[in-house]
Amino acid sequence: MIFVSVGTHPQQFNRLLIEIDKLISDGKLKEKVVAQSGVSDYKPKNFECKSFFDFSDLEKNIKKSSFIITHAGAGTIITAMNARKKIIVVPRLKKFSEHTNDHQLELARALEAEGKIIAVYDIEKLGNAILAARKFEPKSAKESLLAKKLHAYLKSVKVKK
Amino acid sequence: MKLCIASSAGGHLTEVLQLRKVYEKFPHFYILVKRDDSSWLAKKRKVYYVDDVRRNSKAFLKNFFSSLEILKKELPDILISTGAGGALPAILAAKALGIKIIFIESLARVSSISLTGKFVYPFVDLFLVQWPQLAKEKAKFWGAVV
Repeated sequence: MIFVSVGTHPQQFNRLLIEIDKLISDGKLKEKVVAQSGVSDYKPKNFECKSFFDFSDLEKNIKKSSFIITHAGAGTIITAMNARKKIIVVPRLKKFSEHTNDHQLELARALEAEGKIIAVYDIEKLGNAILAARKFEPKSAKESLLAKKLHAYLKSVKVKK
Repeated sequence: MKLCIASSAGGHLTEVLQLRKVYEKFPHFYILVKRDDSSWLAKKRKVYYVDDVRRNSKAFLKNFFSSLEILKKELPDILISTGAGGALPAILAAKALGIKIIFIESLARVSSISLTGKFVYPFVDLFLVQWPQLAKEKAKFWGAVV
């Protein structure tokens, strides 16, 4: 199963859902797809989707999947990384009214440069990215340094009695 | 030492939850923007919900006064927030009450600080960024949440 997520951001991301529907119709994507479609209004013919999942269902679906295809939302990416899943990221773009700015593009580029995800900037390349995902070995971060340092900081703060 | 975790729903909440192994070692509670994807946490933890702000001044004031009441009642020592704008009233209320503030800029901010981040930067006690290229003066890079 492939899990697809467009996140909770209040703008559509039909471009991703349409392309996945097309890849399935063309026989290029044969695995079952489950999608979280947010506020997108495209109704897919070849796979089921639900607007929002609660967090534990989201985690369950991510765990069950063979890999995930997601918008470049930090939250979804983080959840997928924690589940040690391969991630294909398709950034939402301002020019298609998918987001209010292009920070998702920056995030996708930065994580791709670190070898942590596969990024797709041109939706027609999604099919190729899905093929590449089979062989992709993502680099994962070691234990969070931020957590360690934050803990040390919190322990050091003097509390007013 | 008591902590308050203030966050919007969605990815900002997911990011701050990555740090729960750290802050759950201390007595803590949440101030969260109420939305379908943040309501589940109340079943597991102490959560106060506030309304979203959506760049609307009436909603902002309502959120601010709700946050002020909550913080006056709970009196945390430190407020930790990852933003976004929906958590800004809680951050301001904490400042008004002399509560220390830790602001953690989102992982999604790679080359520039967010609007909320820019606004709170001058007055928070600790300002953390998750990409080294953003570290400058007060903004410290201590790594990422993941």
